Parts: sequence; C-alpha cells; structure tokens
Amino acid sequence: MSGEAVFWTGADWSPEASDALVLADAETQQTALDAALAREDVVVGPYLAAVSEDGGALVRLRETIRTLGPTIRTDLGKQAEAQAA
Amino acid sequence: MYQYDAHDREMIRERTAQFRDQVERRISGALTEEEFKPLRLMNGLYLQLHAYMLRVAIPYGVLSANQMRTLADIAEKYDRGYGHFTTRQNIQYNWPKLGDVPAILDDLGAVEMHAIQTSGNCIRNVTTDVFAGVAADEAGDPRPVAEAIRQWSTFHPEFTFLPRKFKIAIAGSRADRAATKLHDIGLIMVRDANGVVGCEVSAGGGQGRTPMIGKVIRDFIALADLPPYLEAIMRVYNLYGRRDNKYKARIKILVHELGVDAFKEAVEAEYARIDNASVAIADAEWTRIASFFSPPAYEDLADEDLGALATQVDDGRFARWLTHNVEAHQRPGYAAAVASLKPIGGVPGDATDEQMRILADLADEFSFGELRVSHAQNIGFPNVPQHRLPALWARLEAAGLGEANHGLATDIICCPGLDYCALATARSIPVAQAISNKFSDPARQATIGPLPIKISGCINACGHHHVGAIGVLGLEKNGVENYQITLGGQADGAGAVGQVVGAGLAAAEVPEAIDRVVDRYLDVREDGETFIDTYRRVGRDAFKEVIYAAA
Repeated sequence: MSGEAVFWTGADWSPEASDALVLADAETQQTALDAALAREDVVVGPYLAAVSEDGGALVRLRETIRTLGPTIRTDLGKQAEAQAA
Repeated sequence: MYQYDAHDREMIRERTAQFRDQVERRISGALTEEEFKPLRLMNGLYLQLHAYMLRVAIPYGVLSANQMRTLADIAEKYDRGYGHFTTRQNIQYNWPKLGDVPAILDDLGAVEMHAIQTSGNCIRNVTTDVFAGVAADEAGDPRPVAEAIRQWSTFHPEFTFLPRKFKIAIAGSRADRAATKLHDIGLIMVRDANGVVGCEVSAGGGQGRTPMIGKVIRDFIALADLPPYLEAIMRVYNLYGRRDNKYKARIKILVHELGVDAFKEAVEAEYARIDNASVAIADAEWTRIASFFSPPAYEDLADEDLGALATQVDDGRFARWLTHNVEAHQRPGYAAAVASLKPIGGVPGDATDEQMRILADLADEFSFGELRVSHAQNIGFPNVPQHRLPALWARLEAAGLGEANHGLATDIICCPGLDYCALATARSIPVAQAISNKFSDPARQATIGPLPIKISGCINACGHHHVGAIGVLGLEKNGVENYQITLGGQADGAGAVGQVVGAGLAAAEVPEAIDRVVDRYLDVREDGETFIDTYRRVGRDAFKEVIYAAA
C-alpha cells in the first residue's frame, strides 16, 4: 500500500530488484505477465522490463530509477533503504 | 481569504468520509484498481514511479500561514519532510501511503483544504497571478472571481466526466502573469467603456504534445454573467469534445477543428439557451464572496526610498533581492515580495517542512498571515511594509529562501521529471540544477535580465517548456536521455510557442549550449532589449548556429 515498485521472483513479489526473475523467451515472458495481470488485487500495472543480454542490467533508465529512487535525492527511495539496511 | 461556511465544511467532511470508505474497500480488495483509479484521481491521488503522489489544491495560490503549517505537518508526519509546489499553484507530496491518505485529508479539512479535482477529467484548480489583488496594474482583483469559479466548478454534476482535464486561469491585468493564453479557458479582467469590470474570454489554449495559443471568443463578459458563460463553453466542450482519442480530447483540439468562429457561434447559441438566473452569481452571494477579499488593515505608510533601504543591510545580496524580488504594490509604502524556492543548484519548487514553517511564521509577522504560491513555483508575500523588507529578507536568507533570482536565469520552472513521474521520458531536475549552477553568478544574471527558462521531462509539458524564452524538453532516444531546445516562447502578452532549434542534445551539453545562446544575446542585443525582445528581432537562426557550433 506504499505504492512502491515490486519485482516478480517466480514465486512472489519482492521489493528488491535483485530478486527479480529474468525471463529469456517470449513465451515464458507472456505467461508470467498474464498471470500477474490476472492478480491485480496483489499488484497494479505489472509490465515486463527489458534487461541486458546477460540479465544483469535494466535497459531503460526509467526502470533503473524505479529500483533506486530519485537520482537527485539519494536519501530517498529504495537506494536509501538499502543504505540503511 | 475565503472562509468556509457550513456547506463547504460539510461537503469536505462527506467527501473525505466517502474516500476513506473507498480506500478501505480498495485495501480489502472489495474495489479493484480499475474501479478505484477514477475515484482516487478525483481526490488527487496518483501512482508514480516510487510511490503514491498526493496533489493538494491551493485554490488560486492563496494560502494562510496556518494552512502552510498544516502542509508542513503533513510533510513531516506522513511524507519525507518536504513538498513540491507546482506550475498550477498546488503542492505535491511524493511519498504518502494509501492507508494514510484519509488521515491526511482529515488534517487538510481541518484547515479548509482538500485534494478534490486536482486530477481526473474535470475542472482543475483555477490559477492566477501570484500577486492577484495587490499588483499595481490590475483592472480588477482576480481572487473573488477565481473563488466564484471554484465554487461553481466543484462537484459540478454535469462536468464531472469531461473528455479530458480542464484548466482555467485568470489574470487581473493585460500583463497576464497567469499564462492565460495557455489554458483551456483564459480570462483577463478588463473594464468596459463605462468602467464596469468583466473578463475577456479566450478558449482553446494549451501545451502538451500540441501546444496552442488560446483564441479570444468574447471581448467582454460581465462578472455576474461569467458562470453561465463558462457553463455554455463547458457544455459545447462536453458535447463535441472528442472522446475517441485521449490525445485529441482537450478543448484546444475542438476549437482548432471547428475553427474559432464556429466554436464561438456554438458557445453563444448555448449561452442564449441558458437561464442566466439559475446559474449566475446572485448579487448577495457575489458580495459575500468579495467580502473575504477586502484589503487587510493597512497602515498609512509612505513609499520608501528603496535605494536607501538597500543600504540597511550590509549585503549586496539584499540590494539585488530588492531589485529583482520585490514588486510594485497598489498601496503606498507596501510591497509584494518573492521568496525564491530556486536556490542555486537546488531542486526547483521544493520546500522542507522546516522551511514551510518559517514561511508561515514570516507571513504572520510580515504579511497579514497570507502567502501565495506562484505558478513559477515560488512563494509570495503579498503585503509587506516596505520598511520591513530588510528584516524579512534576513530571515528568508537564513532559511535558504533568500536567493535574489525572481524572473532571472536561475528562476527555472521545472517539472519533477523522470526522478519521480511515471509519465516522464527524461530527467528534468538535474538539468535545471546544472543550468542553475552555470548561471549562478548574480552579476551575470542581472546583466542578462529577465530570462524565463522552463524544463519539462516529457511531452506533457508540465514544466511549461513551450512558453519558456528558452525551453528544454527531455525525451528518450535509443534508451538515452536527449534534450530538445526551444527558443522564443512566451507565457504573457499574446503568448507564443517556442521554436525547436534542431536535433536534441545530451544532458551534459545543455548548460553550455544555453550559455552560448545567452552570450549571443548579449553580443547582439540593443539598448533595453530583454532576451525575448532580441529573439523577436533577430530570429532563431542567430541562436541556432551557436547551439550547434563545434564545441
């Protein structure tokens, strides 16, 4: 209920981007997305976010910012929670 | 300031209770997100990149000290200790939790505030000049008119499901410091041949992906007849506005596609059909509303010698603040002062809860307890005795609010951009910060003179880049942030949409490119010309060539 971004691990939703499941082919991607869309009581607006070939990095800056927080306030968002932890 | 009556209080109470129930049902799952979304939007609650975002209405930018204290308390208790003031004179909180929002609305309700109609396809906050009611050049005070429009448009059952959002702005003078030509309906207060105050009405202005300057559709409408006339415009829009395509659903598209003459005809025909008496503001009600905006208990003061005043504080920054941040007032001996929320290198328009409390205290001590929020994202003190300006500035300066940059190159209008907003295609704030740092030298800013720089992080133009003398639009090109420069935009007067100069630039290139543009202006300007004057005279190419000159 915080409105924060969460990431599908394969089993459940985690607030940590590092827990995210990387899906390599279109079919498993669509299956996972359909399953998430069917459960909008759990999460709102699920979508697939592109990652690099080795699965290591998000392609779009938008998605990276989502995993971190505002770039101009590194004391806010997930990046701050990671610091505090 | 307007004070709620029993009706107003009851409406807010009921609305908050209704939303509390909706939130509970959303959390329990009884309401799906699809069902909840339009409801939360009507209460100003967005979902953004990191969290929910709550946009609180500050009607026509007028705020009491007490209200500002509540905004500070909300920032501290429910958010992360700060708020962001917007280009529509509202405040945004970036980190509320869904479950806390009803409590936030309760706290707002206790000081006669709310988040109603700050989002959704309805009539939004009516905006006006930051110094409405005190500016020296007004034909009339826009505040009571804005309040009347607010009452007419709040919960209006006929206009709750418009094709798209609807924004109205009103200016008290032709100087138009409210960007009225860039609004769905723009109103400029004028006097007719008999000295009766009314409004010139324009329609179909807007920014976003298809910027358009509003067209005058009526030279004069008496104030009392304004609600029925607005009703006529809204009915024409509601009936004929496109609902098939979200990107063609604003009234500007309708005015453009019909043509202004046909649109005007349709409005006049509808206006003729409306039973004025049922919609117009009754004289008694008009008097009641206007009574809340009568002048405060001004003392009898004489105008000060501002040059002498400047010497009272042994700090060149104060002399500059007097020059740039203080506006002429209707009342002798008084001034309207701008507290800058644009510290050099800072986030434009943000204030901490501590700063908000200081602003509230200063309002009580220096400005009859009243503050203003500017659409340029600064805070105004509308009624400061001139002889107290030194003391006011010293306190602002101590709180990091004393930058002497009102209207200058570092007084940048900037949207939240990709750092916060789910709609954004690029970051805007870091670009604003870099430009601010580039132009930090106060002497250089003074030499340059007025230079509105406006930055948007996407095509929706919440940063008003189309009407910046220098505009910056952040896009995404091949996954990388790319910035388009526009020149020659103008929010005041007849209004003008800026011209794109050419291919977009990388983020790092933007401050230097703007620096070269400014250098070119300084090279070719003639006596007394501001940047926009010179631009109009010499044209785009003189500037385009320096932007793309080999580094």
